[in-house]
Amino acid sequence: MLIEIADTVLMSPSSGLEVDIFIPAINDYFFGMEDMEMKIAVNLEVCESNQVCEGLAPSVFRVNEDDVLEILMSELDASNTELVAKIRKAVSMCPKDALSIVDE
Amino acid sequence: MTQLKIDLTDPKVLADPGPTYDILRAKAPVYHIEDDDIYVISRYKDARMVLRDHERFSSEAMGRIATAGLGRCKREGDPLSDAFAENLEKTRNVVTSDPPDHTKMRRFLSKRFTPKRISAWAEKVEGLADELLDEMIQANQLGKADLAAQYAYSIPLIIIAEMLAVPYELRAKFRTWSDMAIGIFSGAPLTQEVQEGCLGLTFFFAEQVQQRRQDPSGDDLISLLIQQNPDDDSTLDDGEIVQTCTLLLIAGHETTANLILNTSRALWLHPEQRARLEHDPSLIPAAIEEALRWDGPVQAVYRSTTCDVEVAGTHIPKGKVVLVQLGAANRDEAQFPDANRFDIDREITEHLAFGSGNHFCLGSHLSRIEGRIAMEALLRRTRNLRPNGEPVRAAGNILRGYSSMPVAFDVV
Repeated sequence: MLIEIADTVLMSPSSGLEVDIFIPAINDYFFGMEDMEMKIAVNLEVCESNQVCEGLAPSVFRVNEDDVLEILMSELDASNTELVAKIRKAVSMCPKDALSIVDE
Repeated sequence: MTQLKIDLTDPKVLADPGPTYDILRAKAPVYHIEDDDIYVISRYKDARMVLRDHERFSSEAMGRIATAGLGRCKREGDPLSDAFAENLEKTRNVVTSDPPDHTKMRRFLSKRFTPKRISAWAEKVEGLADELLDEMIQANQLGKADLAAQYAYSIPLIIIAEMLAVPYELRAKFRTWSDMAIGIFSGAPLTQEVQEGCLGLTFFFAEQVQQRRQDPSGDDLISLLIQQNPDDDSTLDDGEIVQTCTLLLIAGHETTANLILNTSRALWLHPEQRARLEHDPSLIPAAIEEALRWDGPVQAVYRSTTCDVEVAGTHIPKGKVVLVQLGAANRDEAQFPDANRFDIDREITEHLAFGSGNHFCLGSHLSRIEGRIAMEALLRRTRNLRPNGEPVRAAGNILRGYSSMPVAFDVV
Protein backbone atom coordinates (compact mmCIF):
# COMPACT_ATOMS: atom_id res chain seq x y z
CA MET A 1 0.00 0.00 0.00
CA LEU A 2 1.29 3.43 -0.84
CA ILE A 3 0.43 6.51 1.08
CA GLU A 4 1.16 9.74 -0.64
CA ILE A 5 2.86 12.32 1.45
CA ALA A 6 0.31 15.04 1.97
CA ASP A 7 2.46 18.06 1.36
CA THR A 8 6.01 18.47 0.33
CA VAL A 9 7.47 21.88 0.88
CA LEU A 10 10.96 22.20 -0.45
CA MET A 11 12.64 25.52 -0.14
CA SER A 12 16.09 26.25 -1.35
CA PRO A 13 18.52 27.40 1.30
CA SER A 14 18.52 30.88 -0.21
CA SER A 15 14.79 31.34 0.01
CA GLY A 16 14.21 29.76 3.37
CA LEU A 17 15.76 27.62 5.99
CA GLU A 18 13.35 24.77 6.41
CA VAL A 19 12.64 21.77 4.28
CA ASP A 20 9.44 20.14 5.41
CA ILE A 21 7.88 16.93 4.35
CA PHE A 22 4.58 15.82 5.70
CA ILE A 23 3.99 12.17 6.30
CA PRO A 24 0.68 10.90 7.67
CA ALA A 25 1.40 9.27 11.02
CA ILE A 26 1.55 5.72 9.79
CA ASN A 27 0.66 3.90 12.99
CA ASP A 28 -2.40 6.00 13.59
CA TYR A 29 -3.47 5.37 10.04
CA PHE A 30 -3.11 1.66 10.45
CA PHE A 31 -5.02 1.44 13.66
CA GLY A 32 -7.81 3.46 12.16
CA MET A 33 -7.36 6.41 14.44
CA GLU A 34 -7.83 9.98 13.44
CA ASP A 35 -5.73 10.78 10.40
CA MET A 36 -2.92 12.72 12.01
CA GLU A 37 0.00 14.13 10.15
CA MET A 38 3.63 13.71 11.05
CA LYS A 39 5.83 16.50 9.85
CA ILE A 40 9.58 16.19 9.48
CA ALA A 41 11.32 19.52 9.57
CA VAL A 42 14.91 20.11 8.59
CA ASN A 43 16.43 23.30 9.86
CA LEU A 44 19.05 24.06 7.23
CA GLU A 45 20.53 26.80 9.35
CA VAL A 46 21.60 24.18 11.84
CA CYS A 47 22.14 21.20 9.49
CA GLU A 48 25.82 20.53 8.81
CA SER A 49 25.32 17.75 6.30
CA ASN A 50 26.72 15.20 8.71
CA GLN A 51 24.80 12.50 6.83
CA VAL A 52 23.78 10.57 9.92
CA CYS A 53 20.19 10.60 8.64
CA GLU A 54 21.40 9.59 5.19
CA GLY A 55 23.27 6.66 6.70
CA LEU A 56 20.12 5.45 8.46
CA ALA A 57 17.54 6.15 5.77
CA PRO A 58 19.26 6.80 2.44
CA SER A 59 15.99 6.49 0.58
CA VAL A 60 14.67 9.53 2.42
CA PHE A 61 17.65 11.75 3.16
CA ARG A 62 20.44 12.65 0.79
CA VAL A 63 23.18 15.25 0.98
CA ASN A 64 23.55 16.60 -2.55
CA GLU A 65 26.60 17.67 -4.54
CA ASP A 66 26.45 21.11 -2.93
CA ASP A 67 26.51 19.51 0.53
CA VAL A 68 22.90 20.47 1.20
CA LEU A 69 20.44 17.98 2.68
CA GLU A 70 17.61 16.96 0.36
CA ILE A 71 14.48 14.98 1.11
CA LEU A 72 14.11 12.41 -1.64
CA MET A 73 10.95 10.61 -0.90
CA SER A 74 7.65 11.87 -2.18
CA GLU A 75 5.67 8.84 -1.17
CA LEU A 76 6.08 6.30 1.52
CA ASP A 77 5.11 2.64 1.68
CA ALA A 78 3.03 2.55 4.83
CA SER A 79 3.60 -1.13 5.43
CA ASN A 80 7.26 -0.24 5.74
CA THR A 81 7.19 0.35 9.47
CA GLU A 82 10.90 -0.37 9.42
CA LEU A 83 11.50 2.76 7.38
CA VAL A 84 9.31 4.86 9.65
CA ALA A 85 11.34 3.62 12.60
CA LYS A 86 14.51 4.56 10.75
CA ILE A 87 13.21 8.05 10.08
CA ARG A 88 12.41 8.45 13.77
CA LYS A 89 15.87 7.20 14.65
CA ALA A 90 17.45 9.58 12.14
CA VAL A 91 15.60 12.47 13.74
CA SER A 92 16.71 11.55 17.24
CA MET A 93 20.30 10.82 16.21
CA CYS A 94 20.95 14.01 14.26
CA PRO A 95 24.00 15.34 16.11
CA LYS A 96 22.99 18.92 15.48
CA ASP A 97 19.31 18.53 16.35
CA ALA A 98 18.51 19.81 12.87
CA LEU A 99 15.67 17.36 12.30
CA SER A 100 12.40 17.32 14.14
CA ILE A 101 9.09 15.57 14.01
CA VAL A 102 6.01 17.58 14.79
CA ASP A 103 2.85 15.58 15.24
CA GLU A 104 0.02 17.80 14.19
CA MET B 1 26.38 6.01 54.71
CA THR B 2 29.98 5.88 53.66
CA GLN B 3 31.08 8.61 51.33
CA LEU B 4 31.94 7.40 47.83
CA LYS B 5 35.45 8.48 46.96
CA ILE B 6 36.53 8.21 43.37
CA ASP B 7 39.64 9.53 41.68
CA LEU B 8 39.21 9.40 37.91
CA THR B 9 42.86 10.32 37.36
CA ASP B 10 44.19 7.38 39.44
CA PRO B 11 46.46 5.35 37.09
CA LYS B 12 44.69 2.16 38.23
CA VAL B 13 41.38 3.66 37.18
CA LEU B 14 42.83 4.91 33.90
CA ALA B 15 44.13 1.44 33.08
CA ASP B 16 40.52 0.23 32.93
CA PRO B 17 37.92 2.86 33.79
CA GLY B 18 34.96 0.57 33.04
CA PRO B 19 34.34 -0.68 36.61
CA THR B 20 34.67 2.84 38.03
CA TYR B 21 32.23 4.17 35.46
CA ASP B 22 29.82 1.36 36.46
CA ILE B 23 30.00 2.49 40.10
CA LEU B 24 29.50 6.14 39.18
CA ARG B 25 26.45 5.49 37.02
CA ALA B 26 24.88 3.15 39.60
CA LYS B 27 25.71 4.93 42.86
CA ALA B 28 26.48 8.55 42.02
CA PRO B 29 25.20 9.58 38.60
CA VAL B 30 26.10 13.16 39.52
CA TYR B 31 29.31 12.78 41.49
CA HIS B 32 30.69 15.84 43.24
CA ILE B 33 34.49 15.98 43.27
CA GLU B 34 34.81 18.08 46.39
CA ASP B 35 38.46 19.07 46.01
CA ASP B 36 37.90 20.60 42.57
CA ASP B 37 34.21 21.46 43.09
CA ILE B 38 33.34 19.68 39.84
CA TYR B 39 30.20 17.64 39.15
CA VAL B 40 30.71 14.46 37.10
CA ILE B 41 27.81 13.31 34.92
CA SER B 42 28.04 9.64 33.97
CA ARG B 43 24.69 8.33 32.73
CA TYR B 44 23.99 8.37 29.00
CA LYS B 45 20.64 10.13 29.21
CA ASP B 46 21.94 12.87 31.48
CA ALA B 47 25.16 13.34 29.50
CA ARG B 48 23.29 13.68 26.24
CA MET B 49 20.82 16.10 27.81
CA VAL B 50 23.63 18.31 29.17
CA LEU B 51 25.44 18.35 25.81
CA ARG B 52 22.27 19.36 24.00
CA ASP B 53 21.24 22.06 26.48
CA HIS B 54 23.61 24.93 25.78
CA GLU B 55 21.33 27.38 27.52
CA ARG B 56 21.78 25.87 30.95
CA PHE B 57 25.19 24.30 30.31
CA SER B 58 27.66 26.74 28.79
CA SER B 59 30.86 25.77 26.98
CA GLU B 60 32.68 28.73 28.47
CA ALA B 61 34.27 26.35 30.98
CA MET B 62 36.09 24.56 28.15
CA GLY B 63 38.06 27.73 27.54
CA ARG B 64 38.76 28.53 31.16
CA ILE B 65 40.15 25.08 31.83
CA ALA B 66 41.57 23.95 28.52
CA THR B 67 43.48 27.12 27.72
CA ALA B 68 44.77 27.60 31.24
CA GLY B 69 48.03 25.81 30.43
CA LEU B 70 48.69 27.62 27.18
CA GLY B 71 47.90 30.93 28.85
CA ARG B 72 50.79 30.40 31.24
CA CYS B 73 53.30 30.16 28.37
CA LYS B 74 55.58 33.18 28.59
CA ARG B 75 58.91 34.32 27.38
CA GLU B 76 60.66 36.59 29.87
CA GLY B 77 60.99 40.15 28.63
CA ASP B 78 58.94 39.53 25.49
CA PRO B 79 55.87 41.81 25.49
CA LEU B 80 54.40 39.88 22.56
CA SER B 81 54.24 36.69 24.59
CA ASP B 82 52.59 38.55 27.48
CA ALA B 83 50.01 39.95 25.10
CA PHE B 84 49.36 36.46 23.80
CA ALA B 85 48.83 35.00 27.24
CA GLU B 86 46.54 37.84 28.18
CA ASN B 87 44.58 37.51 24.98
CA LEU B 88 44.13 33.80 25.12
CA GLU B 89 41.51 33.72 27.82
CA LYS B 90 39.55 36.57 26.30
CA THR B 91 39.54 35.26 22.75
CA ARG B 92 36.34 33.60 21.72
CA ASN B 93 36.57 30.46 19.64
CA VAL B 94 34.38 27.75 18.33
CA VAL B 95 34.98 25.35 21.22
CA THR B 96 34.48 27.80 24.06
CA SER B 97 31.63 29.94 22.77
CA ASP B 98 27.86 29.57 23.05
CA PRO B 99 25.16 30.63 20.59
CA PRO B 100 24.74 33.05 18.91
CA ASP B 101 28.52 33.63 18.51
CA HIS B 102 29.14 29.92 18.28
CA THR B 103 26.54 29.37 15.55
CA LYS B 104 28.19 31.87 13.21
CA MET B 105 31.75 30.69 13.73
CA ARG B 106 30.72 27.10 13.51
CA ARG B 107 28.86 27.52 10.22
CA PHE B 108 31.85 29.32 8.79
CA LEU B 109 34.12 26.38 9.61
CA SER B 110 31.74 23.48 9.15
CA LYS B 111 31.44 24.04 5.42
CA ARG B 112 35.02 22.83 5.14
CA PHE B 113 34.40 19.70 7.21
CA THR B 114 31.35 18.13 5.61
CA PRO B 115 31.67 14.45 4.65
CA LYS B 116 31.90 15.36 0.97
CA ARG B 117 34.64 17.96 1.42
CA ILE B 118 36.56 15.63 3.69
CA SER B 119 36.28 12.57 1.46
CA ALA B 120 38.36 14.46 -1.11
CA TRP B 121 41.29 13.84 1.26
CA ALA B 122 40.89 10.05 1.27
CA GLU B 123 43.38 9.37 -1.51
CA LYS B 124 46.03 11.46 0.20
CA VAL B 125 45.46 9.64 3.49
CA GLU B 126 45.76 6.27 1.73
CA GLY B 127 49.09 7.18 0.17
CA LEU B 128 50.34 8.52 3.47
CA ALA B 129 49.28 5.44 5.45
CA ASP B 130 51.13 3.16 3.02
CA GLU B 131 54.24 5.31 3.07
CA LEU B 132 54.32 5.37 6.86
CA LEU B 133 53.73 1.63 7.03
CA ASP B 134 56.72 1.04 4.73
CA GLU B 135 58.84 2.84 7.30
CA MET B 136 57.25 1.12 10.28
CA ILE B 137 57.83 -2.28 8.67
CA GLN B 138 61.53 -1.45 8.48
CA ALA B 139 61.53 -0.37 12.12
CA ASN B 140 59.73 -3.61 12.98
CA GLN B 141 62.59 -5.64 11.51
CA LEU B 142 64.86 -3.93 14.04
CA GLY B 143 62.29 -4.50 16.82
CA LYS B 144 61.71 -0.78 17.08
CA ALA B 145 58.24 -0.25 15.71
CA ASP B 146 56.12 2.26 17.61
CA LEU B 147 52.55 2.49 16.43
CA ALA B 148 52.09 5.87 18.10
CA ALA B 149 55.11 7.82 16.90
CA GLN B 150 55.59 6.18 13.51
CA TYR B 151 52.00 5.85 12.42
CA ALA B 152 49.02 6.98 14.48
CA TYR B 153 50.26 10.49 15.30
CA SER B 154 51.80 11.08 11.89
CA ILE B 155 48.68 10.59 9.79
CA PRO B 156 46.45 13.28 11.33
CA LEU B 157 49.36 15.66 11.85
CA ILE B 158 50.49 15.56 8.22
CA ILE B 159 46.92 15.91 6.98
CA ILE B 160 46.18 18.93 9.19
CA ALA B 161 49.50 20.45 8.11
CA GLU B 162 48.35 20.01 4.50
CA MET B 163 45.00 21.58 5.28
CA LEU B 164 46.72 24.56 6.87
CA ALA B 165 49.26 24.62 4.02
CA VAL B 166 52.21 24.54 6.40
CA PRO B 167 55.35 24.94 4.25
CA TYR B 168 57.31 21.69 3.84
CA GLU B 169 60.52 23.08 5.27
CA LEU B 170 58.72 23.90 8.51
CA ARG B 171 56.92 20.57 8.96
CA ALA B 172 59.47 19.07 11.36
CA LYS B 173 59.34 22.15 13.56
CA PHE B 174 55.58 22.22 13.28
CA ARG B 175 55.47 18.69 14.65
CA THR B 176 57.71 19.52 17.60
CA TRP B 177 55.65 22.58 18.50
CA SER B 178 52.44 20.69 18.12
CA ASP B 179 53.65 17.84 20.36
CA MET B 180 54.48 20.39 23.04
CA ALA B 181 51.13 22.16 22.84
CA ILE B 182 49.36 18.81 23.05
CA GLY B 183 51.59 17.82 25.98
CA ILE B 184 50.18 20.70 27.98
CA PHE B 185 46.68 19.37 27.55
CA SER B 186 47.81 15.98 28.81
CA GLY B 187 49.29 17.59 31.90
CA ALA B 188 52.97 17.65 30.86
CA PRO B 189 55.09 19.99 33.00
CA LEU B 190 55.33 23.52 31.69
CA THR B 191 59.08 23.66 31.18
CA GLN B 192 60.78 26.60 29.50
CA GLU B 193 61.29 24.41 26.43
CA VAL B 194 57.59 23.58 26.23
CA GLN B 195 56.67 27.23 26.64
CA GLU B 196 59.05 28.18 23.83
CA GLY B 197 57.51 25.50 21.64
CA CYS B 198 53.99 26.72 22.23
CA LEU B 199 55.00 30.30 21.57
CA GLY B 200 56.78 29.11 18.43
CA LEU B 201 53.52 27.63 17.24
CA THR B 202 51.60 30.79 18.03
CA PHE B 203 54.06 33.07 16.27
CA PHE B 204 54.21 30.70 13.33
CA PHE B 205 50.43 30.88 12.90
CA ALA B 206 50.49 34.67 13.35
CA GLU B 207 53.07 34.92 10.56
CA GLN B 208 51.03 32.66 8.30
CA VAL B 209 47.98 34.85 8.88
CA GLN B 210 49.99 37.93 7.84
CA GLN B 211 51.12 36.16 4.68
CA ARG B 212 47.58 35.14 3.78
CA ARG B 213 46.35 38.69 4.30
CA GLN B 214 48.93 39.87 1.76
CA ASP B 215 48.09 37.07 -0.66
CA PRO B 216 44.57 35.79 0.00
CA SER B 217 44.40 33.61 -3.12
CA GLY B 218 45.04 30.29 -1.35
CA ASP B 219 42.48 27.57 -0.71
CA ASP B 220 43.80 26.37 2.66
CA LEU B 221 42.07 26.69 6.04
CA ILE B 222 43.98 29.80 7.09
CA SER B 223 42.99 31.51 3.84
CA LEU B 224 39.40 30.61 4.63
CA LEU B 225 39.64 32.04 8.13
CA ILE B 226 40.77 35.48 6.97
CA GLN B 227 37.72 35.78 4.75
CA GLN B 228 34.56 37.54 5.78
CA ASN B 229 31.89 35.26 7.20
CA PRO B 230 29.09 35.40 4.62
CA ASP B 231 26.49 34.80 7.32
CA ASP B 232 26.97 38.05 9.15
CA ASP B 233 29.84 39.82 7.36
CA SER B 234 31.95 39.44 10.51
CA THR B 235 35.66 38.78 10.35
CA LEU B 236 38.03 37.15 12.79
CA ASP B 237 40.95 39.16 14.13
CA ASP B 238 44.49 37.77 14.08
CA GLY B 239 44.28 36.46 17.63
CA GLU B 240 41.05 34.60 16.93
CA ILE B 241 42.49 33.03 13.80
CA VAL B 242 45.67 31.97 15.57
CA GLN B 243 43.63 30.41 18.33
CA THR B 244 41.32 28.64 15.89
CA CYS B 245 44.34 27.20 14.05
CA THR B 246 45.82 26.00 17.34
CA LEU B 247 42.51 24.41 18.23
CA LEU B 248 42.15 22.65 14.88
CA LEU B 249 45.65 21.32 15.25
CA ILE B 250 45.22 20.05 18.80
CA ALA B 251 41.66 18.83 18.38
CA GLY B 252 42.40 17.14 15.10
CA HIS B 253 45.68 15.50 15.92
CA GLU B 254 45.94 13.70 19.23
CA THR B 255 42.31 12.59 19.21
CA THR B 256 42.54 10.84 15.85
CA ALA B 257 45.93 9.39 16.72
CA ASN B 258 44.38 7.87 19.82
CA LEU B 259 41.39 6.61 17.87
CA ILE B 260 43.84 4.58 15.78
CA LEU B 261 45.76 3.42 18.87
CA ASN B 262 42.68 2.58 20.94
CA THR B 263 41.15 0.68 18.02
CA SER B 264 44.36 -1.28 17.49
CA ARG B 265 44.45 -2.19 21.17
CA ALA B 266 40.79 -3.20 21.18
CA LEU B 267 41.54 -5.51 18.26
CA TRP B 268 44.51 -7.23 19.84
CA LEU B 269 42.41 -7.77 22.95
CA HIS B 270 39.76 -9.34 20.70
CA PRO B 271 41.69 -11.40 18.15
CA GLU B 272 38.62 -13.26 16.90
CA GLN B 273 37.03 -9.95 15.85
CA ARG B 274 40.30 -8.79 14.34
CA ALA B 275 40.45 -11.93 12.22
CA ARG B 276 37.03 -11.09 10.82
CA LEU B 277 38.21 -7.60 9.88
CA GLU B 278 41.26 -9.05 8.16
CA HIS B 279 39.01 -11.19 6.01
CA ASP B 280 36.34 -8.55 5.47
CA PRO B 281 37.62 -4.96 5.54
CA SER B 282 34.08 -3.67 4.97
CA LEU B 283 33.57 -4.31 8.71
CA ILE B 284 36.24 -1.76 9.62
CA PRO B 285 33.92 1.29 9.88
CA ALA B 286 31.75 -0.64 12.37
CA ALA B 287 34.86 -1.52 14.36
CA ILE B 288 35.89 2.15 14.43
CA GLU B 289 32.45 3.15 15.72
CA GLU B 290 32.60 0.48 18.40
CA ALA B 291 36.10 1.55 19.44
CA LEU B 292 34.84 5.14 19.68
CA ARG B 293 32.10 3.99 22.01
CA TRP B 294 34.07 1.45 24.00
CA ASP B 295 37.33 3.33 24.43
CA GLY B 296 36.97 6.78 22.88
CA PRO B 297 39.85 9.27 22.67
CA VAL B 298 37.84 11.99 24.41
CA GLN B 299 36.51 10.66 27.71
CA ALA B 300 35.06 13.88 29.05
CA VAL B 301 34.21 17.49 28.25
CA TYR B 302 33.53 20.46 30.51
CA ARG B 303 30.46 22.64 30.78
CA SER B 304 29.41 25.21 33.36
CA THR B 305 25.94 25.81 34.72
CA THR B 306 24.29 29.11 33.84
CA CYS B 307 21.57 28.64 36.47
CA ASP B 308 20.64 26.26 39.28
CA VAL B 309 19.89 22.90 37.73
CA GLU B 310 18.83 19.44 38.79
CA VAL B 311 20.32 16.37 37.14
CA ALA B 312 19.33 12.83 38.17
CA GLY B 313 17.85 14.23 41.37
CA THR B 314 20.99 16.11 42.33
CA HIS B 315 21.03 19.86 42.69
CA ILE B 316 23.89 21.67 40.93
CA PRO B 317 24.14 25.37 41.75
CA LYS B 318 24.63 28.06 39.14
CA GLY B 319 28.21 28.73 38.01
CA LYS B 320 29.57 25.25 38.76
CA VAL B 321 31.80 23.23 36.48
CA VAL B 322 30.26 20.04 35.14
CA LEU B 323 32.35 17.22 33.71
CA VAL B 324 30.39 15.22 31.18
CA GLN B 325 32.08 11.82 31.31
CA LEU B 326 31.42 10.67 27.75
CA GLY B 327 33.33 7.44 28.30
CA ALA B 328 31.03 6.47 31.18
CA ALA B 329 27.90 7.41 29.23
CA ASN B 330 29.10 5.24 26.36
CA ARG B 331 29.23 2.24 28.70
CA ASP B 332 25.71 2.78 30.03
CA GLU B 333 23.73 -0.49 30.00
CA ALA B 334 20.52 1.49 29.69
CA GLN B 335 21.62 2.57 26.23
CA PHE B 336 24.01 -0.18 25.12
CA PRO B 337 23.18 -3.77 26.09
CA ASP B 338 26.24 -5.60 27.46
CA ALA B 339 27.96 -2.21 27.35
CA ASN B 340 31.35 -3.27 28.68
CA ARG B 341 31.76 -5.75 25.84
CA PHE B 342 33.61 -4.70 22.69
CA ASP B 343 31.39 -5.92 19.86
CA ILE B 344 31.77 -4.83 16.24
CA ASP B 345 28.35 -6.33 15.42
CA ARG B 346 26.56 -3.87 17.68
CA GLU B 347 23.65 -2.11 16.07
CA ILE B 348 24.36 1.51 15.14
CA THR B 349 23.23 3.73 17.96
CA GLU B 350 24.30 7.17 18.93
CA HIS B 351 27.43 7.03 21.04
CA LEU B 352 28.71 10.25 22.53
CA ALA B 353 32.39 9.94 21.58
CA PHE B 354 32.10 13.00 19.32
CA GLY B 355 29.80 14.77 21.74
CA SER B 356 26.26 15.73 20.78
CA GLY B 357 24.37 18.88 19.99
CA ASN B 358 25.79 22.16 18.80
CA HIS B 359 29.41 21.35 19.67
CA PHE B 360 29.33 17.92 17.99
CA CYS B 361 32.88 17.25 16.82
CA LEU B 362 33.56 19.36 13.75
CA GLY B 363 36.24 16.93 12.64
CA SER B 364 34.26 13.72 13.07
CA HIS B 365 34.32 12.89 9.35
CA LEU B 366 38.00 13.60 9.03
CA SER B 367 38.65 11.48 12.08
CA ARG B 368 36.53 8.61 10.77
CA ILE B 369 38.17 8.67 7.35
CA GLU B 370 41.67 8.82 8.80
CA GLY B 371 40.81 6.11 11.30
CA ARG B 372 39.27 3.85 8.70
CA ILE B 373 42.10 4.20 6.19
CA ALA B 374 44.76 3.79 8.88
CA MET B 375 43.12 0.56 10.10
CA GLU B 376 42.55 -0.73 6.56
CA ALA B 377 46.23 -0.37 5.68
CA LEU B 378 47.33 -1.80 9.02
CA LEU B 379 45.02 -4.83 8.78
CA ARG B 380 45.90 -5.41 5.14
CA ARG B 381 49.65 -5.35 5.58
CA THR B 382 50.25 -6.73 9.07
CA ARG B 383 49.19 -9.80 11.00
CA ASN B 384 49.29 -10.53 14.71
CA LEU B 385 49.95 -6.93 15.75
CA ARG B 386 50.90 -7.11 19.43
CA PRO B 387 52.48 -5.06 22.20
CA ASN B 388 56.27 -5.17 22.32
CA GLY B 389 56.93 -3.50 25.66
CA GLU B 390 54.81 -1.28 27.88
CA PRO B 391 52.73 1.32 26.09
CA VAL B 392 52.86 4.75 27.71
CA ARG B 393 49.39 5.97 28.57
CA ALA B 394 48.66 9.68 28.34
CA ALA B 395 47.84 11.17 31.73
CA GLY B 396 44.51 12.61 32.78
CA ASN B 397 40.91 11.51 32.42
CA ILE B 398 39.97 13.85 29.58
CA LEU B 399 41.97 12.54 26.62
CA ARG B 400 42.41 8.78 26.52
CA GLY B 401 45.23 7.19 24.61
CA TYR B 402 48.95 6.69 24.44
CA SER B 403 52.05 8.74 23.82
CA SER B 404 54.03 5.64 22.91
CA MET B 405 52.97 2.15 21.85
CA PRO B 406 55.83 -0.22 21.01
CA VAL B 407 54.53 -3.02 18.81
CA ALA B 408 55.69 -6.05 16.86
CA PHE B 409 53.88 -7.71 13.96
CA ASP B 410 54.22 -10.12 11.08
CA VAL B 411 54.25 -8.71 7.57
CA VAL B 412 51.80 -10.02 5.01
